[in-house]
Amino acid sequence: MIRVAAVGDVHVGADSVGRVRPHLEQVAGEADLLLLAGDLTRVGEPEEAAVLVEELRGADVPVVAVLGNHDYHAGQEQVVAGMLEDGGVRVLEGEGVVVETRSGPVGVAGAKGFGGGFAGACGSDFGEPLMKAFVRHTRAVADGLEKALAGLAADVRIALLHYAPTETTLQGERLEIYPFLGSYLLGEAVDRAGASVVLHGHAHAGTEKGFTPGGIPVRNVAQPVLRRPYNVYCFTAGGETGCDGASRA
Amino acid sequence: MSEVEQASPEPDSYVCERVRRALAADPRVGELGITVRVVGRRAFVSGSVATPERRQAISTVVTEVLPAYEVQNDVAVTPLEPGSEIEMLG
Repeated sequence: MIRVAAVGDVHVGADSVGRVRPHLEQVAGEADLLLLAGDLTRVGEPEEAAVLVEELRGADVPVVAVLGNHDYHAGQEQVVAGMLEDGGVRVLEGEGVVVETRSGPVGVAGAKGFGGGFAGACGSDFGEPLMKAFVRHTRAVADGLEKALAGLAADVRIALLHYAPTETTLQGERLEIYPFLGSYLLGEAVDRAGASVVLHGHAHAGTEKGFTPGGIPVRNVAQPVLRRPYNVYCFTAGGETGCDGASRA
Repeated sequence: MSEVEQASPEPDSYVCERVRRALAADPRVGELGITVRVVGRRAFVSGSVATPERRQAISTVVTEVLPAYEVQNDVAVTPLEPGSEIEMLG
């Protein structure tokens, strides 16, 4: 069995020193891999990334991440991603990686994603150049995600996003801001390529469990939703069945 | 000479958005998800943040933006329950 820990929206800042690491020191006993679903920092300053890298040293498992909109705010996203990579975190944007965990391979396709809204109430590639650019950006990100997912040679294939691929995990958020929380194009990409699960963050007032229109499980792992350091998702490997207990709350 | 029309007081909705913009832009806070409500000369803020320092910074920023208002800070620090939930997915 392969166990994947996931959390997003940890929003690490200079005031987070010593607050994340104690939780992560337990992850190696509970999971084979840790996935971070964006908004890793408060506003994307390199000083915040440095704190995050130190805090992540407590996690003795491979770590794969995507960035979120907060990580872009200071305009230093490349620096932030580079610091995380130097610290041993694989940062994905429109690409995939197969991680050889101690329990077996796990394919992860990652992208920040973007907004646009959901079927029946979404932006269109029409009108002003800025509006077209907005929608085309989301489409390009979704295309990259689909290609990355399709290229993963692993039985367990995970789509890791920051923005939501479905409105089913946004229940609790104000309906008016759904177009800023995600896009159906991301869900469509996942349904075309196939995946074991989609993990995302961004929607702090949303709900954890949902699904794409094609029926693929979606989990909103934003920490304000989980209210836990992370949750663990289990996948069978090599015909195994069962999960190590139900909940260790 | 015609009398210059006196500007109306700033509507509460604009006041609230002014505060929300400040909370997002101010480097001491950098939060998008804070709810702001204004009633008379009282400002109410709610939501959740990761640290007690950020919660306190919200009070500071709102007071700076609205010095004449009484600020009620109902923002919570995201509580983390111990342990993780485990789910079988496939």
